[in-house]
Amino acid sequence: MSPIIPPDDSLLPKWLSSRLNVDAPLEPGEPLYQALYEPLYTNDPDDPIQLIFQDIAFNEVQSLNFISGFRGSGKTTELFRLRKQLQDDDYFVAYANALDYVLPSEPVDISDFLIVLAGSFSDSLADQLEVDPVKESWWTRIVHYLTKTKVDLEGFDVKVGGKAAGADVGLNFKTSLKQVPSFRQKLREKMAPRLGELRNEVQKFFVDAIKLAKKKSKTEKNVVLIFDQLEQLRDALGDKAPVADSVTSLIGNHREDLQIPSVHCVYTVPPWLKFKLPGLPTRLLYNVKLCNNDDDRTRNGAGWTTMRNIVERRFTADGMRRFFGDVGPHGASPLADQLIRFSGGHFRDLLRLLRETLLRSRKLPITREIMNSAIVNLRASFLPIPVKNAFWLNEIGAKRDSLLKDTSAESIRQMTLFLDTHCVMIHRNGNEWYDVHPIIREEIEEIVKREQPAPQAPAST
Amino acid sequence: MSQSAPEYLAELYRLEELEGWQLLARHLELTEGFSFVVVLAPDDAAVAYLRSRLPDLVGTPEAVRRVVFDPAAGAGGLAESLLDMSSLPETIRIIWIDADAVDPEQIPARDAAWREALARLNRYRNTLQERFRCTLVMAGPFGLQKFLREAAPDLWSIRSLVCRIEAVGSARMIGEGIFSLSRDREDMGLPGDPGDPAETLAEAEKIRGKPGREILLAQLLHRTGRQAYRRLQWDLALKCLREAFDLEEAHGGDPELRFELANDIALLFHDLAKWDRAFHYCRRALEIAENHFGQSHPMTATALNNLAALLQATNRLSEAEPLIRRALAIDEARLGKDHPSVASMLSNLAQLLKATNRLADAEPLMRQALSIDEASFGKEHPRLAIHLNNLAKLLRATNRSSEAEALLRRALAIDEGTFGKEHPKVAIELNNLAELLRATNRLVEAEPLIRRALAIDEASFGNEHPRVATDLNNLAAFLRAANRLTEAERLIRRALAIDEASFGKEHPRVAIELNNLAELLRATNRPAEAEPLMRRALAIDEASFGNEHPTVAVDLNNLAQLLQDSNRLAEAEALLRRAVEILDVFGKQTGYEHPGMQKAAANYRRLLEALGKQPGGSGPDVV
Repeated sequence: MSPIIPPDDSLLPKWLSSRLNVDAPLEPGEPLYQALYEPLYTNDPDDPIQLIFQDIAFNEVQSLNFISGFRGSGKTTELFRLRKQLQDDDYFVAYANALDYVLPSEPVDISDFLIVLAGSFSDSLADQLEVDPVKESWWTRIVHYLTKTKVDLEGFDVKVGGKAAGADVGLNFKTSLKQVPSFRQKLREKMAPRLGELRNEVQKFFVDAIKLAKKKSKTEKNVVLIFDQLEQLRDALGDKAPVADSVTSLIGNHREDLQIPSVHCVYTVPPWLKFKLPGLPTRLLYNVKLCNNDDDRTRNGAGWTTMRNIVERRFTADGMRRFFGDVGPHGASPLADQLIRFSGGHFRDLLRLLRETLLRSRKLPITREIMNSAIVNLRASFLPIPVKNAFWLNEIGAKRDSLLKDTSAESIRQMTLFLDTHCVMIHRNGNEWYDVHPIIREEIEEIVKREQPAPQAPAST
Repeated sequence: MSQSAPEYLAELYRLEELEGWQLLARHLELTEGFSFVVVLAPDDAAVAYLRSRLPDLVGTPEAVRRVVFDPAAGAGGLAESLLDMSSLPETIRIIWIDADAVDPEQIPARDAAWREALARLNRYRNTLQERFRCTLVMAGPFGLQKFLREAAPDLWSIRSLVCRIEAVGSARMIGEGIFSLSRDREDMGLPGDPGDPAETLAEAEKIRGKPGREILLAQLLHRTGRQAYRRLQWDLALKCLREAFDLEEAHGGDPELRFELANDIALLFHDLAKWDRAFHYCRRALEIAENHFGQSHPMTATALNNLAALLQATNRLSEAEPLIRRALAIDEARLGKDHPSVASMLSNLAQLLKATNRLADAEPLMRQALSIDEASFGKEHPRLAIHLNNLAKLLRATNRSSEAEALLRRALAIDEGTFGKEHPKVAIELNNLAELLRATNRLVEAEPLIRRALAIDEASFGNEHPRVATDLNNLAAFLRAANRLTEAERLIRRALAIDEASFGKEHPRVAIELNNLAELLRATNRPAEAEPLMRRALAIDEASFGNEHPTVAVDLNNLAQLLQDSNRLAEAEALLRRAVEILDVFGKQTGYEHPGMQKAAANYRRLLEALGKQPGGSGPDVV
């Protein structure tokens, strides 16, 4: 059903704003999903969601998938698409948001990660199926285990049978694990010599939980755990990178622990991990490409169609016409196209540009000046670009490669920052390739041209 | 903040004209639920003023909740304050985070704390988003912009906004060196209708003579003066500003207002080329700043900068340099190295270095200033046009015309877009671009630009203003190049008369016109009339710039050519030899060949041939 668009132009910006403001992940089936969301990779042989789905389908018992994507690129919405597709195919899918269990600014350790993994599965089970939150909860189990094995957490009351009991105990444990660094640290210290034991406890829990899930959801297929937002773990500003190091160690040294037996595990991991762990098989939710990887950056029709559809879904055909004025076939509007071009195929940057035009739209349709002003404003947020970075970025744009010199913390941090702030975008058609965000290309070229050392005259002989 | 501050700030920040404020209003109008806004403002006073005006946007003061960011308590303190706000009424529409005014000594530390605070809020973004159904605003210095994406990339999502709030034409802006950015570029203030001075004056008249209302009267006259100034109504502006200053001195206790008034009057006299009176008020401003705010206060830096600019405008370069360096050091220490004030100071210092032939030292300072202002104001701001012009002139002086042309065209587009096509600022841009086109032999493109500039300046300043003289010179140069010599001579003589009356007979501007006129006389076969003019120009430039300045080389070359015409070859050789030596030294010092070098060298080579001598030997290398 077509959305009801206000007939009065003075009310249109508010209506459009409410549609642009939907930036939380959308689930297939939600009314807004169909209205607003354009799946980014459908009909693409490289569709990472489809590839993961196939991997799970081909591996009957268990599988381990890593998926990586950029901030604001619609990653979680894509993972919801995967979940929906799996559920439609009779899988029981547990989805967990890592940020519900860990603080993104704190390093993660294998012992507390295993605890969190089991806990997140347990919570998902409790959310989706009717299970006993005390008897069948992982959180109760872990407290029992610690009590039974007399692990003294020195000052932290996690004993069963105290004032707090049952679900409260588990809840306290879960909250402390996330919020209280000293508690987590103490737990790590105590668990370090008992890692094997903890691993067994976790696996035993999963065996029981999978049985329960299959029984309650009446499926024969093995279960899937999607553990999202792990890539959000990142270091605060500064020279040291304890969080990044801990994530690298977790994925690099404990892969066997991340493969829960009889579970299809899907983890989101940070894009920079590919530089630290080059052999890690990771599916990348790459940026929509508006151009091809050739010298002239020739236009990529499929990418343009996707981005135009995103605009049209949010604005509707009527809204497009009233807001942008001249709209041709297939949602092609000169002004909207210019915004798409400067979004570089980045989903959130496109929405941001649209919103900037909306804020300036006192009269409809908008003018070219308003569009330019929106672009200038977005560009300002990328500036200033230090000269050193400009040279690197310029080379990336020219060679379409990351040109990462080494895997030192400094290089990785800088590249991560480039990716996080969308200065650099990763695309693929066949192979992965890199490019600089179009909104800063000219700026970078200017800096490089300006700062390029003058060619030295050949020495006379 | 003094009692007059709100009144005064309302003048500085006319919110109804400011795009940043209007965007914030629109954002609040269109956005429901949680959103994140960063407001960038020049200083603490501006932030406090904006906070006081928030009820205009949300209807009632109760809809705003302020959270004070205490840099000493660190970023954690801010996060805790926010997370402790558990029972926020639904009527709250804005949570406004800012810091109380701090001692200028603490500003760099506070700015670093802002960065950490942003990073901390980014970590708690999910909690903030869940907890608050309103707009979270962080209001801080311009420097916040540059690390927003880095420190708070998640908060900086689609439901966010960055608003820049800049003062509309103000004495503070004067203090930031706008008027002194270039000797050719007196600033007329920033865009927007300043309001009708007659209306404000009528308000002032209502309270004139009423006891105890003198300060209010001074404030109203101040506003009237500024409005008149921005509408180029010089007499009214001067009358009101001087009366306001006298009233403040007699009755007031507000040194800030007195300081601003002294600055405004100095600027006005500067624009009118009344140097003695401009100096008087500039020195008064410095005295007020040093006595009331201290030796290391940014206002003192402002006053030093303005005085340096005036010294530079009157060619007292060696006196100007220590003042501008002291001003720069104060602003860097107090405001941080990325502050727009620092950009202005850097630009002013660069201009001074350029004027004293230290081009290689000047260029990086100009580029740094441009970069700071681009980061602070975006790429379309009129401040950038000033930097672009200055840089273009330097590039021209070092023989990089194509790069210079691109910069000048960008500057013209910015000023036309900002001020409209008939504004004196646009005339400056047109002149600068036309001059470059003329120098690169693109006369057809140049003429309409020059004539347009002249028409704008005559309409704006009257027929006897030095800016009109500049336009006349430019047009004459073009006419000469087009072989329309009679018309050209008339214009040059008119320009010379204007500048002699404005600057005195020993000013370098006069030397330029003398040279121009002499060249024209030479071209029309009147060498006897030309020679004394050229010798006078040479003497002025030697006295102004020293004997080794490239301008002196140009004078020497001109005179040598004239002497050659009369077959006085030996005299000419000595002059040309000296010219080539000066330009040779220039090339070695700057790394760039002076644009006049090849011509001078060729002239010298031909002269030696005419004298039957070989190039080389003990003379300069002209091969």
